[in-house]
Amino acid sequence: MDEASRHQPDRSLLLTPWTQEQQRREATERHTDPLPASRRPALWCALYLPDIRNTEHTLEAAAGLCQQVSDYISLLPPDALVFEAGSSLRYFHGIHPMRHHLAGCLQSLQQPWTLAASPAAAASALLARSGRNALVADPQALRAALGPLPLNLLPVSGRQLKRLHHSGLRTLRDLWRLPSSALRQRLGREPSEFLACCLGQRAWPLPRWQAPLHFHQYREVEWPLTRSDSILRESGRLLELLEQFLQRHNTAVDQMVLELHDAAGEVQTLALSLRHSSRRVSEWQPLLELQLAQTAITAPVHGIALEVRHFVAFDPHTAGFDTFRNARQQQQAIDSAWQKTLDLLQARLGRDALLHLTVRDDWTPEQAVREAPAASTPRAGIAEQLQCLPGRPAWLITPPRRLQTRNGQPWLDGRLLLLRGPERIQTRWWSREPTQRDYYVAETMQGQRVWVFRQLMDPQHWYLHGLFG
Amino acid sequence: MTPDLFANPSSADSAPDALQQLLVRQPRLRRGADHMSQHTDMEGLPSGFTELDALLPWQGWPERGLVEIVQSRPGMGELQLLMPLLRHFSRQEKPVLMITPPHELYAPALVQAGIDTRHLLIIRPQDRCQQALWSTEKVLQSHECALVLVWQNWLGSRVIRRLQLAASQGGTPGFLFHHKAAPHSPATLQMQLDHARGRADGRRTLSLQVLKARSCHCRGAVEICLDG
Repeated sequence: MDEASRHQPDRSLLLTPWTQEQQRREATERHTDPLPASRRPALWCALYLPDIRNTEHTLEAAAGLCQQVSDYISLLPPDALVFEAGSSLRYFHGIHPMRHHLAGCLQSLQQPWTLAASPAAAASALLARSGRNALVADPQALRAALGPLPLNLLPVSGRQLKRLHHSGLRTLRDLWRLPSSALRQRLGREPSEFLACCLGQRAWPLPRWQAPLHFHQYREVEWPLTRSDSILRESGRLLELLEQFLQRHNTAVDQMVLELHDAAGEVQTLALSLRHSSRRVSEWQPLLELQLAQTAITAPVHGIALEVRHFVAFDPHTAGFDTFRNARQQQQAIDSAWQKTLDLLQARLGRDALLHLTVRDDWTPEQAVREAPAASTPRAGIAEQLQCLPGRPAWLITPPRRLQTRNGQPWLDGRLLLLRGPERIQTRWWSREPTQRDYYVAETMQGQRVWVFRQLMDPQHWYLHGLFG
Repeated sequence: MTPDLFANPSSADSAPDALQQLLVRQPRLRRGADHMSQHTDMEGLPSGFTELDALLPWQGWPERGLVEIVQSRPGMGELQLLMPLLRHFSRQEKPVLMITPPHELYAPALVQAGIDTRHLLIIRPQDRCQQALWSTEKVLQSHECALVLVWQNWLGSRVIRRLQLAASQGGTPGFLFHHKAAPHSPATLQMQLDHARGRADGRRTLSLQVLKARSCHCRGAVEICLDG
């Protein structure tokens, strides 16, 4: 017997896993490492949750629990998932303790489940979905283990299934009795490839699932806090924990929520947001200080919680980690300082108070401009088109103000002198309220230059729409 | 007739010959305006209007500090007056902030004037005046903002002093538009837009009056020609 086979446990037990016999074998093997990790055969577990769709829990929640035993998890919606368990066997001292640990974790789901394990992930999924808590350790035993399974477990259409049924094929064993060319002809490419995956002859592509990041830290303070500077100091420790968390996960945040808990359990919430993502305490602390200064602390604070649910990719350039020192770096430092000022303004005035102006390609004057929150990237102006148009006023009066008329002439603190026009703007004919206006540049008696129009359908009424500033 | 010793340089031609001769003969005697402009360490930002540059002691707008512009009503031509300055900073891709403008700023007009709106930020009118003033002070203090324009109905000398201090600290030029001149204003420059009138060629003339310029005794009025 060579070295490898001597340490290789005999795991050819078929469909009788999780038994006393298996436990006894594992107990003897517990402290021996049969093979190095690179040569150890893979072991894929499939977890089948038949009732997951009928409960409030999601497959992602189950996957989160499975992270206790594996770091490679793939979802098989809507009711199953597979995870790689071979690399965790040594840590748990065998498959049975691992299964026992997982069972404890899955208790919170409060629903039935089936767990199957085999060297092929596709085979484990089929076994689990068939409702068998099975372990197939030997790859050579896969065909025998899967043989009795019904065909409706395969990823084939109902029509194909019916056709196979009419051909007298009921189980996977019946399929494997067919010549491989006939199998491919009857099933098509994908199901026949899936069968090859079940036997471990092909790799089954499994996208890796990763749990969404979530940061939540609660800190109970030693004595009730009423002053904002004390709260800021305590919150600073939470911010430091967040910074460490963000560094570990190489990510950043642009918004977070700070909760102030009082003795009665009431929570006062402070929402913080930056215009750009950051993971530095030094950038968040001034915002928090500003928010606390503006907030009336309604009750003594007994606990502080910091929560972040939304994370954004960390950009080393905006964070000032550019290792190439050049002129651009200096500009970045200026931009960064300006961003901090804007963040402060936004924190005090609100997210929508700070705006960029963008030009829209629309003939209707009030539709040609858009105020976008400063956090968004503004579009460059449509300069070429606008240069062809007559001069536009710097101020727009919205909505247009109806003017008095005297002898049919527009009146604004005196008679209006029409200087230029008309410029006809006729558009939005497809809408219920089409734009049909004649615009004029006029001058008031006080020397103000204004932009007025009258409707084509209603020419006796004049409207003030802009000031040339 | 007593000669006007504090006349601005543009009116030098009208100074009496006797005074001119006296100035030439006595090297220790000089005009107050010239003296102050030589001793100010501030440079000017070209306003884009030759007549105005000649009137102001910095040969343009002051590069930092508060400029108080008094106008009886908006739309007299105040934005046209600042268009060359806005265009200058837009070309340099420097940020410009407009705080609580009286009406909606119409971006197509700015684009027509050659201003890239990407570098322009606007703070909407706030419920409370304090918010706007706090924002103004913060931005004036920051060294990164190229220009701040702020609109208010009226501000007293104490508030203007605080804004003036912030603008000096930050090295930022700030323009405050309001309806009534603050007495004893501590602003770097206090100007009044008197009136505008149309011209036969379709352009218009804006009449400006310098009420006070810091470190300088110059006063005077000037008329400039606006495009639209």
